[in-house]
Amino acid sequence: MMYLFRHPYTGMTVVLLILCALLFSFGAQAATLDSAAFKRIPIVHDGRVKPLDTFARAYLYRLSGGQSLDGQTASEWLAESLFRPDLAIKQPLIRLPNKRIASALELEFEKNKRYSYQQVATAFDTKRSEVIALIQKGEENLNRFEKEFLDFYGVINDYSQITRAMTLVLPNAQSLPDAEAKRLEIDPTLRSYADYLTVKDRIVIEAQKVVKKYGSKIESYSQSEQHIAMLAFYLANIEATGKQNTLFRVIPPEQAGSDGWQAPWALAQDKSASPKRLESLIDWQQLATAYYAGDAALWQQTATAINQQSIQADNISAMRLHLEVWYHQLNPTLWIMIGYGLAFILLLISSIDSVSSRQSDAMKKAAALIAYGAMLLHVVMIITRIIILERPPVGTLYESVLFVALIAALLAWRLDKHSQANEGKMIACLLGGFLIGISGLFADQGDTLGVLVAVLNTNFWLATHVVCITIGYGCALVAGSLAHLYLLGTSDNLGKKLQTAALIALLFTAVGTILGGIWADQSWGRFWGWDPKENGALAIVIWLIWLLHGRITGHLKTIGFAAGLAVTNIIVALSWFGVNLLNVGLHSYGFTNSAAYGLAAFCSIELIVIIALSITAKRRLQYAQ
Amino acid sequence: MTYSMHSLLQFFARPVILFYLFPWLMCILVLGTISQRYIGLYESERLFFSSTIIWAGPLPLPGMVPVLALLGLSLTAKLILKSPWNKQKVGTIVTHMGALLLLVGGLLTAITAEEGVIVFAPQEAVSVVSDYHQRELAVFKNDSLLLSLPHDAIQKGQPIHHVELPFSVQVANVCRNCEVVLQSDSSKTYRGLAEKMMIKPAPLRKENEENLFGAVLEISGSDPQQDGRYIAFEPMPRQPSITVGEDRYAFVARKVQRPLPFTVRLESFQKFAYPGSSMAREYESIVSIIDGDVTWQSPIRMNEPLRYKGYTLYQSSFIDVGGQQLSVLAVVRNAGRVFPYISSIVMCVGLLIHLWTRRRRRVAE
Repeated sequence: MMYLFRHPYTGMTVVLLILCALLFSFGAQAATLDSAAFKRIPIVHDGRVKPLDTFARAYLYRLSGGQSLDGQTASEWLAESLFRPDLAIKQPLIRLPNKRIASALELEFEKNKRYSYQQVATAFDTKRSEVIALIQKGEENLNRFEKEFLDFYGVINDYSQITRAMTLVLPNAQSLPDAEAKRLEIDPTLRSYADYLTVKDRIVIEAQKVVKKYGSKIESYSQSEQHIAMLAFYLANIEATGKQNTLFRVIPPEQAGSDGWQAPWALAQDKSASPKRLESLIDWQQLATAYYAGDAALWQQTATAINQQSIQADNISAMRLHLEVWYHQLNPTLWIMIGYGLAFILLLISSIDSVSSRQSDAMKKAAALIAYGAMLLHVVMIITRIIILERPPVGTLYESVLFVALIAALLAWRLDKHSQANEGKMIACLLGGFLIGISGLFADQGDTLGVLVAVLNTNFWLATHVVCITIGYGCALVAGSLAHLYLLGTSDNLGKKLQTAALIALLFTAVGTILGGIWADQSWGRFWGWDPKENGALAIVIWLIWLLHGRITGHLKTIGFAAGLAVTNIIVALSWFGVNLLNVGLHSYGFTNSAAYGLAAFCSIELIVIIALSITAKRRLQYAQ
Repeated sequence: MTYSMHSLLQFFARPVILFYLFPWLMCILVLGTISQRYIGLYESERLFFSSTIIWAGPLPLPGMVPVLALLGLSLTAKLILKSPWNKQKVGTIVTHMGALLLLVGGLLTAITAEEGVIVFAPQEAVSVVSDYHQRELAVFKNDSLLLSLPHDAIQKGQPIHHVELPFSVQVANVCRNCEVVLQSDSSKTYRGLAEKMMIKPAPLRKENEENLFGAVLEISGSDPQQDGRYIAFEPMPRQPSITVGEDRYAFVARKVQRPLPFTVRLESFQKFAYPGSSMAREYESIVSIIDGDVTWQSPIRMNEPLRYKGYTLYQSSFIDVGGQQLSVLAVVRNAGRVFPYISSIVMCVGLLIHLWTRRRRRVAE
């Protein structure tokens, strides 16, 4: 969030005018330039090397709420933003986050209305003083709305950097007539700012001479003097767009492994840059040329060349870049959710009495096939994430949801191993589908493949404590769901299974909690700190112990035990997500926003359902007696 | 064992105790956790998790300490009286022993643990540890410590006595968290900082580390040039000192300092950030331990602490001060450290055995 501590870019309006005034002599670009190689070009962003495709998707998502825009893929949109910023800034793109921000910017708020960058930037320009005031207030002193407002400003600012990232290599309309070019010993075919880098000082000096002689009255200049003055003015304006433009770090470092990735503008302004590195600007210029000409072959060739050079320069794994592009293209969470959902519906229908046994069998078989497919994809998704990020798959809240979904699905599915019943399978699909479905709530930063804070950056403890406790959450959810089924009265065999399920859940949550304590002891010097997340995990353990002991002492009969076990779902939800809302303590790295209402709704509904089911179960028992 | 003792133990060994104790334990957990949002971790720990009594208005309720004590007692009684070593029960007995070990470890930690912090810049050497929370008013005579008064024991109006203090000191005011105001009282003689400013009690900050402890001291009986009111205030670099004859007496408001049996010198500190960002990937301090004649170097990294002479030094964080990075090490000494490790293994084994024997029993049925 370093951008928040610089002053807002003051010449936004001027820049927009400049971009609009750029007259391009080429025609409109072809709409179908193959983006395969372009997508895989590596960029350093948010602490790691990622393909441009991920970068594009993340920003498109944060700006517009989707991963494609009016028929353009994220990468195509990015290419347009880079090489035709004059068009990109006018395109309807930005979805305002909420009504309050809209009214703060004096823009109309409609649910699906999209504003162009130009409109939003102009609105922000009028609120410049407010933004500065907020930045100076300091992050700790902002309330929720102010934080959201500044976050939104940050995203818009990032986009403005994207649209200006390539202005130094874009072809310009201004040039020198041959005679003047010869006099100043400048190549007349120079087109972009980058081309003029080495000679621009000469032009500036010449222009200054002119101004000194005649003042700023352009009418008194000769033709050639006008050319020089316009060119100097033009170059100065382009240079202004490159101020503080450091987001688009696509130029690899001089030495592999060093922290030297730079944005093109930062490179151009870096006095210590070697000529060899400056040559990489030529490649990007060629890419820009290919974009304008709609030259698919040149585009492909240049993108591939840039790709290869960057990969070689910093020893990047080309395979992981490929994998990441493929991962996003596949969009696994959507298909997994659909798979589980379909399987659940089929299983549900197959258990209706009026369905014939042949149809029911067919549906069950189909459901099993679909569910296996979903589970396989689920496993593949998690393995892919492990390969891309080179760490165990549970570092962030989002990842924990994906992982718990898998554990719950696999475990619940196995419950039916020794019986003909369907309960386990239905729980598997329900839990798996539901959790994957809500996972999107925790992916608000666009790029879910994030890096971890220093204290989490330890593969051993991630693989042991976090994996253990998330398995525990999964087991507890399965146990809780089984308890719901028991209360529904679908089958009598569940009684014994409930206790075993509770015990297994206790094993994993207890061991996981203690491992957490041991990690804390190794890391911070104290085994237990009464941190909200620690307390949450302990609450699950205490609850399960209490239920099991209540059963032993006879205080809890089967229905009471089942009801209590069903409540475990609520306790897990609160412990897993609720504690992040408190924003306290060492465990507040899983930031959630709108999930608060969802959580409250879930807990209330669950409580009502459990109470209702318990009452009906009790009645059923009484009638049976 | 006498009959009454036996029947008392019998009472405590009943599982019904746990059945009523645990819901209350959950309540304390929930209330304490939610309270953290409003009063901060330190206060919620003091009021709930380390409490003896929790006051619900005028009603005293058992705090965490009696609950855990009762739990420990119940577990012990159960293990003594109701734990026959047969095949069925082995798993649960082992698990319960593990739980008891955890409680014992917790008790030891609560009694003996010393936690503190060292903040230093490269080339700085330190042989004391600052406590995180405890503040004190330290009285020095010629740089050697005469008295150390814990902040919660100091009261307004109380005199400070020591046989080697040749003048009278009285605490005119004391605040756990002070705010600074302009000096507006002209009725008394103020010296030093107190000439321009005064401190007065302010509401406690949520982060206890941010509270600034201070005391206003009334000195009399030294000499007319030095008698008067002084402020000893935690963040101030210069604290009041009185010179009588050849001796210099200083009053310092500070976090409690505990001496280490060795010296730690920071050789270098490095922060590794993720490429292209300022987010820290890893921090590392290289320190030298100087113990008498022996000096040796060791790295201290996040998740990789240094252990020496019963002390463990952790890389906790770092501070950026005017361009220089200061390394922050957490220093802990805890006799009960090893208990959670043992108890977790024991509990895990116990649960596994229990599950296994259950399984075998079910298969046999």
